[in-house]
Formats: sequence, structure tokens, C-alpha cells
Amino acid sequence: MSNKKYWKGFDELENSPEFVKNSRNEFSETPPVLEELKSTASTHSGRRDFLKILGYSVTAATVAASCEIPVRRVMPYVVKPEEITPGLANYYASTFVNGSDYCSVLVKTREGRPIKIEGNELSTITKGGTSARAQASVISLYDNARLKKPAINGADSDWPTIDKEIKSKLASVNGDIVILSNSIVSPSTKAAINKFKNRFGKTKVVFYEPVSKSGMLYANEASFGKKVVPGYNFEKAEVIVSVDCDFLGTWVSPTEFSADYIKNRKISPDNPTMSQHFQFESRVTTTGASADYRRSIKPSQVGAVLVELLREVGGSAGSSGAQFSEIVTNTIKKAALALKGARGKSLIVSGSNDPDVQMIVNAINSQLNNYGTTIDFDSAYTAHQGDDKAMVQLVADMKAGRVGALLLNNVNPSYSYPDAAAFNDGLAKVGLSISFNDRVDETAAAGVKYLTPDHHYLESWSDAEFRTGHYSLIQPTISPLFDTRSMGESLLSWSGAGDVDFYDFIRKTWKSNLIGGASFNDAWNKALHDGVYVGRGGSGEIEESGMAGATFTGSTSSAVSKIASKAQGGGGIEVTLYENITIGDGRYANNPFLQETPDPIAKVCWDNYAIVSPKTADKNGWTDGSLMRTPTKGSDIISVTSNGKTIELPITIQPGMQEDVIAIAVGYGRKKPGSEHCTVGANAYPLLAYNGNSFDFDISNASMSKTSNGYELAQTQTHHTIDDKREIINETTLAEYKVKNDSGNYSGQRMADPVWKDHHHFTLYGNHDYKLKQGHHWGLAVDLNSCTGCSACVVACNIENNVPIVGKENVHRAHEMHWMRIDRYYSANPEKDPDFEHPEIAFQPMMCQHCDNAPCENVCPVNASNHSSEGLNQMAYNRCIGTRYCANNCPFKVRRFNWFDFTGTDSFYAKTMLDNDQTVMVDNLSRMVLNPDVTIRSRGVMEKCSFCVQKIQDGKLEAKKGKRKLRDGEIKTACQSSCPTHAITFGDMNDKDSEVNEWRENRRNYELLLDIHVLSSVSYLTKVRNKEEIEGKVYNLEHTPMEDHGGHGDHGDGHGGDHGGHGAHGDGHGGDHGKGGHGKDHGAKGHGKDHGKDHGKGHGDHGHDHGDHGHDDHKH
Amino acid sequence: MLRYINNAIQNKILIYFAFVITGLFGFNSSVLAQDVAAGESAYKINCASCHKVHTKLVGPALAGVYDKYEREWLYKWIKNSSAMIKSGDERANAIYNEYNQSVMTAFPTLSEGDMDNILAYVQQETLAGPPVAAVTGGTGEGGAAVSNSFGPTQIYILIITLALILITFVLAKVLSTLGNLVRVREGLPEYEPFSMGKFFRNRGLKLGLGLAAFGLLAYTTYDNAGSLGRQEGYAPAQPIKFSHKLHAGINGVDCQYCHSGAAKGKSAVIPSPNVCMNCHKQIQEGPEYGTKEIQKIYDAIGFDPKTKKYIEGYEQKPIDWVRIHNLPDHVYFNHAQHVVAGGVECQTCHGEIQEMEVVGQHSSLGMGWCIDCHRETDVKFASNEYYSIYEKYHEEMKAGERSNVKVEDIGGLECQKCHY
Repeated sequence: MSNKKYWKGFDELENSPEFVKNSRNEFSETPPVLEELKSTASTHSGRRDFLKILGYSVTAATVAASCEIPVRRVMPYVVKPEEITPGLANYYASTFVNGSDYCSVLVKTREGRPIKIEGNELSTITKGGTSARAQASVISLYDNARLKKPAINGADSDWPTIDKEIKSKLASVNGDIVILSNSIVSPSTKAAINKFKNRFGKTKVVFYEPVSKSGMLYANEASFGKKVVPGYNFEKAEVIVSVDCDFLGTWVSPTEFSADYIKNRKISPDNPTMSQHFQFESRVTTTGASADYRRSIKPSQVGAVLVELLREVGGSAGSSGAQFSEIVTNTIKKAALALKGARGKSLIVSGSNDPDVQMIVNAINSQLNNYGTTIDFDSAYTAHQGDDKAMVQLVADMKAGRVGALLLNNVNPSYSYPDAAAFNDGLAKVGLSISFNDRVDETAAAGVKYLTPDHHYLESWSDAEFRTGHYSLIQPTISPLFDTRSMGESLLSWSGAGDVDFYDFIRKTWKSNLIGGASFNDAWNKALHDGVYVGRGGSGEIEESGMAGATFTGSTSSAVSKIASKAQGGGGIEVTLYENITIGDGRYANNPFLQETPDPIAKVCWDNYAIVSPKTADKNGWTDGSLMRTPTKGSDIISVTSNGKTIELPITIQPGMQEDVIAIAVGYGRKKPGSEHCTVGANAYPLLAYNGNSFDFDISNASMSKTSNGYELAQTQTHHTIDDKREIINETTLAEYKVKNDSGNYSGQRMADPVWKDHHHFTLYGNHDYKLKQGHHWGLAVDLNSCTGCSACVVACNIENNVPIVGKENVHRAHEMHWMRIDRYYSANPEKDPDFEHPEIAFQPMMCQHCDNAPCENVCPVNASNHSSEGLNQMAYNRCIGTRYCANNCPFKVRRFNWFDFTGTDSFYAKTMLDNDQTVMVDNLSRMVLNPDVTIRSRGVMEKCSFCVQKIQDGKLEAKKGKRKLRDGEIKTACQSSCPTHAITFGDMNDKDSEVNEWRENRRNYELLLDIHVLSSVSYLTKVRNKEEIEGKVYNLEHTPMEDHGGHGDHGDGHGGDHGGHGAHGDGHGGDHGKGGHGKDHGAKGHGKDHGKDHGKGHGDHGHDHGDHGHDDHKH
Repeated sequence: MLRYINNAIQNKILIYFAFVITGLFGFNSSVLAQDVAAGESAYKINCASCHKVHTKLVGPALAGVYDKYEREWLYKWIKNSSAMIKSGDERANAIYNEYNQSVMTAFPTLSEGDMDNILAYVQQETLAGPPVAAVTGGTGEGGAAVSNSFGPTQIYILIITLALILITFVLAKVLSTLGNLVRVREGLPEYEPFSMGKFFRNRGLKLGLGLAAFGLLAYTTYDNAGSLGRQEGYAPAQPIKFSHKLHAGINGVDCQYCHSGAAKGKSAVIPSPNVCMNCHKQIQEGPEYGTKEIQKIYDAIGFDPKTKKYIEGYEQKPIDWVRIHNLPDHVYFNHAQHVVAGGVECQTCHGEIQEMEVVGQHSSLGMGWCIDCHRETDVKFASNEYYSIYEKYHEEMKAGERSNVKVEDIGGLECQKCHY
């Protein structure tokens, strides 16, 4: 057994007594109802109150009981559309597009309401994957804050009036007409804009993205004369070096990149190869977590790392003069070596918005002949058009009064533009301002006169060309809920084309530009059915051709010198701003599903925060409220000043960052997101300064200081902690895996050991085999190597299963209802990395394990939790009386209790003392998203992952109706189908040929907490990193992990071998836990008890061993 | 009843003869049997809405149609009758004019084989003769197993019980008096004489009776609370006086012709007026209410019965039916599972719907009712390949250790089969 230690939070790492106490306690606080009652109810309530309540309830019960059953009505269609059968779902191919976010999707509709997003497997870009944002987009349709009518100066209006006024004003506009939009990927909308331009000559289009790729655009223009973001093919890259680039989370096309990247990381015994990924980054990203080598650097060193790399791979570059620690220098050298060995099959990417940095990136890629292989200028991303220079120029023009009309499309500069005050000043000087935004956002509130709201994408016809040549269609899945109109239609009607139906316009555009000819109708119908179409400018379908390369013509010398001066001159306090995977640049701020999805690394939701390293915090004496640092409750609040602006934020302390670096997410601090629940965090955009080229998200020489304390972040990091970390994450290296295909898989090795199996096959549960060995036995497997922590599964699970949103307050109190969470584990070797600057990070999706020996089932006093013959751990909500014994007894901590009426099923409590902040999701509009096949749980019942039993039942029924066997892969759980990397598979374990069985037979497969013999139906595949040794792994040279378990082989002749193995284990463990009285607890609970059951049945010897083990711990 | 039996025997004999006769024409009788079955389903799907075998509906009665016209003519007619009419075919025009110049729906997708099947079915039905109205009512009265009414039997029992109690008291008094008389004669001390008042003042009895009363009350409360919200027998008035007896019973329209969702999914579907219009475009008058009720369909969809045309630009009004069968929100029920996979007849749960003038809820729809059926019903194990995964059961059945598999055996009583 290795000595590797995994931890989720610092409390756990240090194992403070408070943490131990808390982790033992499933419900770590007084029941909130009691708290509420204490605070609200009168302290002198006595006999009279009792009698009053008694009288009231008796009367209420009588009245309720004497009520007649209400007459329920049912109204069929007058003319039933042929394709709609009530109760059956329809799927329509469409495309989720929001600025630079793209996902080709299938929209599930029930009775005409879109309720769920699935990936479109025909897509050449996203390949069936989805993102958290795409999954959550369905709830933004039912957003009550959306504009319900067009408005003039804040007063409701109607389209004819508004059209008339706008037309007359446009005709007499004084100055330029500017369409300020975020990236437009729709060819038809572009065509509509051209029509508008033809009508009004002085029209300009300025593309604005708060988190732009301007640096890349300018560098590519200088290097190749092409001002685009080229296509990246991670699939073809054997070596990837990413410098501060979160390409799996937020950069350019993360869903696509995740699928392509992971394709090269899937590993099998037949093909034990995988790409190698080096990550240098200034904050911790999900991409860094997936990397083989992850090194933290300062934001000011981003360019310097690239300069060093350029020199190492043979490019001409001077020294950057940056001071790297030895470990970083070594890794740069290693990366350069790997790159040189993979010319034309490698990829360097950087997320920096500094053109100089991107220039160096281009130089390295060019030096390595990557253009035309892994980078493709022919199939560029059209989505990233945001141009910082043009935006700065526009604001100057507006202030100078040169802009006569401003049309805003899906941009919110009054919030997101760093110098929002300047923009607002300019806006006041624009004669005609029109906003197509869907709500009264900050910009609309700052004085936009005409609000002409666009449809939600689920209500509108449109198209998209996210990568050149890759088209997709957007079709409406519901009639517009409100009196809105698509932007294209508005532009066309103002440009005098009359009332043009945008659907006809798109067809016309496609017919003349894309798929013209006699077969247009067929081709159109196919494109509409598939949702996607690959072609190029009317030439019909294209074959995968040689990709367009490009010749690097840029000069790197000035870039190198600028980077060097930055690296050397940097220092002081550095701030790096980033967009996170959920809220993005702020446009998803009013989406409660995204707000409540914890950041995969920091595990905080409903807030942004300043992330600092442990060393920075210790140096300044700051605390983030984790228990071990608890003189006060909650996080300290610090102020961060740069660019003359100051913001205040609570801190969270995270390993994996350099000293004196602060990372802050943008997108928070919206003043007018829509709902007051979503007005959270602080706006970090003002910290950005324009550097003459672009807004650089890496800021040097900022200042910071503590202002107050006690801020309570809603952090889920340690809410649901599995008690025992020994064999939760199993990891190995590619080198070891090649030698032994179960290396690092300690649990798997034991599972395969026949003697171990025999020893543990004594059970209190009786024999399940008769029922479980025939029919179905559902199982799920997760490939830890493929999980990037993107959280699409979490959101998909929430929406599929009507999991309620509980709000910030309740998350803080550990009341989040998520059926599935992604556990994030750090691991590091404190000897090599005392400041935890370069830890390894692993993700583990965690849901109900559907144990066949489920500990939750036998403690339920009312049998609400019980086992099905198909291996499902069933939860009968209507039986549950809320004792919460099951949650207490669940070793995986996956059961969730409805403390409140979170979904508002029982309106009796609305606006009373029990009405907390659960109003997030209870209005009738947002309830339209609920899945009608899944019960809405009410207050006081337990719930948990059901393996999407509604989908199982549906799949079985389809098979029965067809009188055929169920096909493998026919039933997909929500988490599985949302995953862009196919990290999750689900199926029937009794079906010998099922994929889940294939995964389970893989020697990387293991089940969690083997010692308690719960017989999980969920298993995990060992994570493999392509490197020599695992960070933080301390090899015991006399007792390598493999030898340990070799000992099991001669198990038969006694327990010596066994004892040896466990002894080693005990040592390691004792060392880790060597504080206070914890060892005792651990020995007693972790082993003595559970195994007591076993050896009670005649395994005296075995039990004795474990007794010793417990004793060992105690001594340590 | 006798007449029914006679009829049934007669039918069987006729069917037998039909087989023999068709067999003479070179058909293999087993193949024919299949064809008739296929024909029956095709007939119900395509023809039954306008035709009946023995009586006129929208279109003519089909009895003997296979002899009246030659096959080739029939093929052409069924595939596209209007083309035939236009081509000036005499017989085609004769029918056209006889039926008010209404055009029969064209069925271009039916193959000649399909049509042969349908005609085979029509032939069988023709030979079987017209059905007798009471044929399907076989099990009607016998199903009163769940009667809760306080009938005459109960009254007799009550009277007898009271009489017996009275007699007991009288006898006790007599016994006590006589016993004391004997004792007086023998010079022994008298027992306390039996007195009704004293008997009822007994503490033990009071306690016993009290407990019994409490128990009874508790049981009744529990029992009745269980059925709170259940509406067995609920037969509300509907906005249209639609008679299932007329449509499903007398006219024999297949249930799934209107409730087309039953085979597809969760909901059996209340037919939308455009389905009604398939027939009621022609049938504008009913036997009971004349045009009054049918007019309500026209009002909903916007149809002018005089011109037989839909009114353009009409604002359609949905029909606001009263829902009879209500399950609680936490129950998942799927019609297709029961109708298709389970092969359950509609009548099993909905009662003899073809007899109901006004539809009422036949079953309690309580969980106990569901469970009982799941315990007793055999799974269609042999005929559905889906169930081949239950290998042990199949082996046991092969070995003769097991004669059937109940729904319960494949998990039909588990919580998450219906609650999720």
C-alpha cells in the first residue's frame, strides 16, 4: 500500500479534532427548523398557544377531510398534431448557441415543453457531448426575469409602435450606426445584418466579448495574416503543453476539446498509450487536474515559460530572465524534450489575452510543424470575434458623440466593460439605443431607450457555423412564451424588407449559399433532422481534406523582450482573472442550476471569491473559515486594488498556487441579473486595464489587505466526506501500467484475490443471487481517466431528476440536494512540495453506489429504502418518514434530505417562517422545466440517485413493446448521456457483452470501500497518468505496493501474508493519522466494528489480525 | 342464455365450415388462420371506423363483399376509389351515388396481401352471422365481489343476532329463577338473581365493550382513510353525452381507434375532435340525442354539417371533459406496459365499458388492487423475447418445476416499478 494521502480540504489533511468530529456526523448542525423556531417563536408560548394550535389543527383537519374531491378536467387537442402523443417525449435537433458557447443538442420535449437537453451524436464538433451551460440552458427559457414585451423607455410597448419609431429614427440618424454584439455565428443573422447595412450605409459591427480572444486574433494576424482563432485538433496531439489555458473547462470550444483530448487518454491493455499533457498555470483549473504534469507559476511568468520552451525546442529566443523554481525548470525541459519528439503531433496552447504571449505560442507551434496537422486554419472558430481594440475605440467614439445609433445584442458592457462608467457616459450621448437582450440588465437600465427582446434559442429559428464549414440549425421547440421577436427578424423589418419570417429567410440563405439545387428540400430536411450539416459554401458535402497550414511570418524578438520585462518587472501582488465553467462571463448569472453547481476545484457555489495559496494566507494571517483555522467563523474578506479600482471578496485557501497570487472569477457581482437570489459576489472586471492591445487578465502589482472577517461561503468541499481515504482514488502511472495492468489498483487486486473473496463472503444480508443473477442487474462504471470535472453530469442529473435548487444559505448549511457530486481530491508529497504548490488533483464522480449489501436499507424503520430484484437501491418517497437513519448509515454520503419544501410543492408554507430562500425555483414558470416522469419530493423525505430509474423503465418498456431483448446502451443515465468524454457507462451486469461488464472486467476496475463489503454496483477505473511517478507518492522501497499484494498469493496457508500486508498498511495509516486520539476512533470504527461482524461468524484468526491493526493505529 | 349458447355453437360450426370451404380452394388452414388474425387487426385499424360487416355505418355493410365484386376490382377500389369513380366505372359510381357522393378514404399503402387478409376476415365474420347484442355481457353481474352496500342479508343477520341476544338474556333470567327455586326447595341459600341492569353495570364488560368499540372505530377509520381520495363508481356528467355503449358496444368500434395512446405510452389519450370527425363528418345524427350532442363536436372544431365543410378561420374550442381516472402524482402508470406488454384487456381495469352509457370508474385504483393483480397475473413469458433474460425461470419451467411466472416474480411488487 502506498503512503499516498488524499485530501479534500486542509482540515482533512491536518485531521483536526473538529474535522474528525464533524466528519462523523452526517448532519453537522442543529436541525434548522429548531433554529428557526427558536428565533421566531415566542419564548413564552405556553398552554394557551398549545390549545390554539390544537384547535386550529383539529379544525383544519376536519375541513380538509370534509372537502370533496376536486373535479379534475382533461382537455384534448382539438386537432391533435400527429407527432405528439401525451406522455411520450419528442426530441428535436437544435443548437445551443450563446456568444462563444456552442453545443449541438437534441431537445427533449414533453407535451410541447422543452425539459431536457441531450447531446447530438451526429455533431462533428461536440460529438454528443454537452456542457454544464448547455444542460442548464433549458431553465433560462423559463426565466421569469425575461422581458415579456418590447419596451420604450421602460414602459411596455408593442411591435408596430416600436418598429415605427425605430424606423423613423434610423432614417434620420446622425452619426454611425453601430451594432455592438457578441460573436455572431449565424450565417443567416449575418446576412440579415448585411441587408441592414445595405439599407443604412453608416452601419458598423463591433464584436465585444468580455472574456475575449483578442490576443490570439492579433497575434495570428501578425503571424499569418489571418485574424481568426484556428481550429485545434487535440485528437491528433500526442504531446500537449498548455500554459495557463483551461481548454477542458472554458477555452474556445471546451466540449469539443474534452472529447478529442480524452480520446487520446483512454487506455486499454491492448493499447497502453496515451498523450502526454504538461500544464503550467497560475490558478488551478480542471485542465490542470487532468494533466500529467501540473506546475503552478505566477501570472507574470506565463510568457516566460513559453519563451523558455521556444528556446528549448530550437527556436531563436533570448532568455526571459524569469526566476523559476527548480521543479518548474525541470518540467519545462521535460516538456520541450517531449515536444521535440512529437513534431507535427503536438500542440501548444495558451489562454493568455496578451498578443505577445500568443506570438510566442505561434512561433513554437510553427517550429514544431503543428500547423496543418494539429492546428487548422481552414476550419477556424468563427465564434471568437470579440475585438478589444475595436471596443475601446467604440467607447471613445461614443464619448465623442460620433455614434448616432447603438444596437446591443447579447452584450452587457455596463456590467462587463472594465471602464463601465466611460461606456455609460458614451451611451448617454447616443441618440438611438436599442437592446436585443432578453432582460433589463445593467446596460438596459443605464439608459437604453428601446428594448426589443430576442427569442430564447429554444423558441427561435436560426443557424450556426461555429467552425468554418460545420453548420447546424436551430429550430423552435416551443412557441415563444413572451412577446419577443428574433433579432434577425427585427433587423430585416427595420431595413424595409417588410414582415419577413426568419424561417423563410434562413431557408433562402441556405438555398443560395449552402445547399442549393433541385434537391434543396431533401437536403434541408435532412439537415433539420440531423441538426448539423457539413459543407462549404455551396460545394456540397466535403471530405476530410488536408488541413490548411500556415506559414509563420511574425517576429518574436519584440514579444520576447516585452515578456522578459514583464517577467522580471512582475512581482508584487499578482491577480489573475478567469471565467469559471458555470457562470462564464456573467451571462449565466441568473441561472440557478449553474449558480448552485459548485466550482469543480474550489467547490464553492453562489459566489466568487479570492483564491490564495496556503502560504499567502499563513503569511498574512488569513483564514477561510475551514475548521482547523477557526478562531472566527467564515472567511476573511480582503480588498484587492488594481487599476485604481478596489473590490472586496472573501478568500478561499487552495493548494496549487504560487505565493502572492490571487485568482478571481469574473461574471459575479451582477447588479441586475434578474432574480435577487442571483445577485451574488463582486464584479472583478473593473480591475482590468487596457494595455494598448487588449485587456490582459493577468494583473501585476496589485495590492491587497484584509478588511473584515466572518463571510460564510457556500462551500461543499467537506460536506459529504467519505470517512476513509485509503482506496477511494486509485492511481498509477503509464510506465507501471504497461508492466502490470492492475498497478495502483489496490482494491482491484484484492477483489481478484480468491482468498480475499472467500474471507469476506459472510453476510447478514442473505443470498441475493437467486434474483440478481437473472433478469437485469444494473451497474455503472466511471473511468477516472476520462473525467475532467466539467460538471455537465451534475447539472444534467439535477434537471432530469427534478433535484431542487436550495439557494446559498442552505448550501452553506450543507443542505444541497445534488444527487451526484464530483469529489475533488488533492494529493502532494509534503517533503518535495512543502507549500502545496504543485499538488495532483483527481476527480471522482460520486453518486449512490446501489450496494447489494446496502447499509442504508436495513436501518430504515419503515422499509422506505429497499432493494429491487434488478439491484437498484430503491427509495420510496411516500413511505419515508424522515428519520434520516439511512443517511447516517451511508458510507458514501450520497443521501440527501429535504429539510424544506424546496420545490414549493406545498404552498401552505410560502411566505411563512419556514419559507427560507427556496423561492429560487418555485414560480410556476420555472416549474415548467420539471420532468413529469419523476415525483416532486416534498419536505421531510430522503432522496438520492435512482440510476435514472424512469429511463430504465422506459427502455425496458420499449424492448417489451418490440418483443425483443434490451440492447446494451439503449438505456443511458442522465450523467452518462451528458458526458462529453464518455467517462460513465451504464448497463446490465448480467448481460455478458455489455460495455459496463467490459469495463468491470478491466483490471483497472475497482469498487470503493472494499473492506465493508457493500457490493457496490458502481465501480471506478484507476486513473493513469503518463509520467514516471505519482506526485506525493512515497515509495517504500522494501515494500512496493505490488509486492504487498503479491503476498496475498500464498494466503492459503495462514494469515501471515495477510498480516504483513495489513501491517504495512497500518504503518502508513498510523503515520498519517498520528494526531490525538483519532487513531483510536479509527481503529474502533473503521475496522473493529465492521470486521467484528465478519469474524463473529468463525473467522477468529482474521478478526484477530484486524484487532492488531486497530491496535497499531492506536499506538501511533 | 340458451339462445346465446346455440348461437355460439352455430358460430363455431359455421367457422369450421368456412375453414373447410376455403381449404378446398387450396389454402393451408393454419396459414389462413394467421391471415384472418392479421386481417382482423388491419380491419380494425383501417376499416372499422366506417364499415361494419353486417350493418351500414358510414359506408356499406361489408358482408359478402368478396363475392359481390371480383378481387381485382376490389383492390383498385380500396387503393383509390375516387380514381375509379372518375374513370366512369359503373359500379363504382353506383356506390358513390348511393352514399351521398362521399368518397372512401384511399389506402394506397395496403398491399394486395393485406387486402386479402382483410377480406378473409370479412368472410369469416360474414359466415359467422350478425352478433347478438348480449354476447359480450358474459361476466357482468358476477363481478360484484367488492360490494359494500348494506343489503337485505345484512339486515336479516342483524335481526337474528338481536333476537339471539334477547333469547340469551331471557334464558339467563329463566335459568337463574329456576335455579334459585330449586335451591330454595333444597334449603340452600339463594344466588343473586340475574338482572340485566346488573349485567350491564359489570366493569369488566364495560371495559371489554369499550375496547371493542374503540378497536372497531380505529379499524373503520383506518379502513376508510385508505379510500379517502378514491372514487370508485365516480361517473360524472360529461360535456358531451358520449355513449361508450353505442360506440364500443353496439357499433363495435375498437377501443384503441380512439384511445390510440394506450398502445404507445403512459396515457391512453382522450381522442381529439378531429378523430371524432373521421366518422361524424358523415354521421350527423345519433339514435338517442339526434344532432344535439354531435353538434358539440362541430362547435369545437368548426364544421358546418350542412355544407360538410370546415369553417375557415374558425376559433376552435377544446372540449372540457371531466377526468374520471385520477392517480396520485407519485404513481407512475403506463398504459402501453399493460396493454401491449401485459396483454391486459381494457375491461380488466375499466369494467364492461362497452355496456356503459355513462362511464364510471370501475376499479378502486388503490395500491392493494394493483398489487393483487400483480400477484395473480401471469407474465407473457413465452411470447416475448424480452423475458428471455430470466434464464432461471425458463430453466425451471423447462424442468417442470414451475408452471408460470407471475408479475410479482419479476419484481412487479417492488416500489420503484411504480414510484419514482
